[in-house]
Amino acid sequence: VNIVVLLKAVPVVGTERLGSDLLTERSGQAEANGNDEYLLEKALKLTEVHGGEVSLLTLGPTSGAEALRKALAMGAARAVHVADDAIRGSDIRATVEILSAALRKMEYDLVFAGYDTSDGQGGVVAAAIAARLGLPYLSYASEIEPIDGGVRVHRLGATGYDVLEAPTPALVMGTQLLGAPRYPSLRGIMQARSKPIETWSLADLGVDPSATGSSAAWTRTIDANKPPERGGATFVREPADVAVAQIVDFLASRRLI
Amino acid sequence: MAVIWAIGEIADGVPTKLTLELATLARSLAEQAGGESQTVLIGAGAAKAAEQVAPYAGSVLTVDVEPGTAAGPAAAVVAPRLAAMIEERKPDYLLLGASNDGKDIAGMLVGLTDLPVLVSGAGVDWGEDGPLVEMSTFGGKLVTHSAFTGGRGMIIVRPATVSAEKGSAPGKVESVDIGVANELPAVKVAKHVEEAGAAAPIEEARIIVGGGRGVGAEDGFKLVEELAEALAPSSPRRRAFETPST
Repeated sequence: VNIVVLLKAVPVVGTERLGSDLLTERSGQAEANGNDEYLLEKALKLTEVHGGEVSLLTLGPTSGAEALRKALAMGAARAVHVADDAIRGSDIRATVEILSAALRKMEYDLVFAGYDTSDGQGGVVAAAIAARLGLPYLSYASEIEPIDGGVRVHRLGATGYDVLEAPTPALVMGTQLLGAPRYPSLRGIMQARSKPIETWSLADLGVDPSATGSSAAWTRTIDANKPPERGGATFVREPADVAVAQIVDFLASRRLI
Repeated sequence: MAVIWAIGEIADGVPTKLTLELATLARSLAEQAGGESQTVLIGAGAAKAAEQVAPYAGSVLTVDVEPGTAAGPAAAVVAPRLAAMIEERKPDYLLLGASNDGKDIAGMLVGLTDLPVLVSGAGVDWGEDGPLVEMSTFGGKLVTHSAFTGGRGMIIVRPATVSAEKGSAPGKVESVDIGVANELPAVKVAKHVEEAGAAAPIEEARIIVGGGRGVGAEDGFKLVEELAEALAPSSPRRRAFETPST
């Protein structure tokens, strides 16, 4: 089973900031998006059992290469990095267009994507790519297993889970319940140095640069401010039964319950 | 005149709490814009669910999907029908819920219609020439406001962004017959597995009681459990969530 994992390089969590143009500043240190690493881990486990190899696909500035190296050290075989000056500030539509164009050039049975990203928090790109490419889309996966000619997924729901089945190729968006990512081994880190990272431009993908980037975006950030200070907290330091009664009274007095 | 759609969701034959919130928000925005709002319900039992949505909505559009005519998870059934309705009726703005299905539908619509989308809306007001969307960014470090540049778009709205409130009169309900040119690739729901303790999605919760490092050891969660019991005594809709430690 050959799997492409969509892996976004995001600013190190806690260091994110907006530039003066109100776009996410991406010149600093980057790391692999945490949720994507869970899908990478699952992809590696599946290929260890069923054969095949794991490829990575990322989109963004050169600072993302470090995140790709770590993912290669975890066990991915190769990586594709779509990098082009025209991409900066692309909205979700353009991002979907570029990633879809890259996937059209790649061979796979499955595409894996994480639940959402720490910098964007959208959680819609995977579904959009599936619809754009005409791939079956299986989301919120807590379990993924290959079946004859297809894939079976447990999709988390409100009252349990649905067992979904679809033919491959297909796109699976997964959750952290798939299992925690491994740490790269020393041997993996050494091997990653010689693994290929291919860089593709928009021209390589046949995507019109004028349709990407902040000038072509159909959404824009108007302002950004620190959130207002929170009001003073009320502390209740009583035994549980007394504390519960006090909290219920407090909420009721404000008509919150 | 701006036309604003709220995209509702039906669970067990009834509209979700988030649907009523979106209907309320769409109505409020339409009033600010001098436009009109419609809440769209697609799925089995849409006409029946519309009766409960109408008091909150400007008007309601329903597309009943007979069981067996379309297969797959709810989003895969809703999205292509919604795309066909958008093509035919050309609404200006769509409000979708930040639920699993709501985000799947929004994503599929980006792929099917090319509409832009703003995510994680924690507040929506009508600006000078369109919606102004407030978002909590970078884990709450910043509050940003964003807008659309082309006069159309979708907004994913977080639960409890507004309180559901009825309008002055129930909205009119219209049944829509829509043809779907292209269904999405088939995904089969082989079976549904119920899990003990899973009785309500978190976005539908009216009250969330939480505990973390501050409660100390495992024993400290007794306080959290007692508070939940006091707020919703033995409620069958009460559900315990556990998130991974970081």
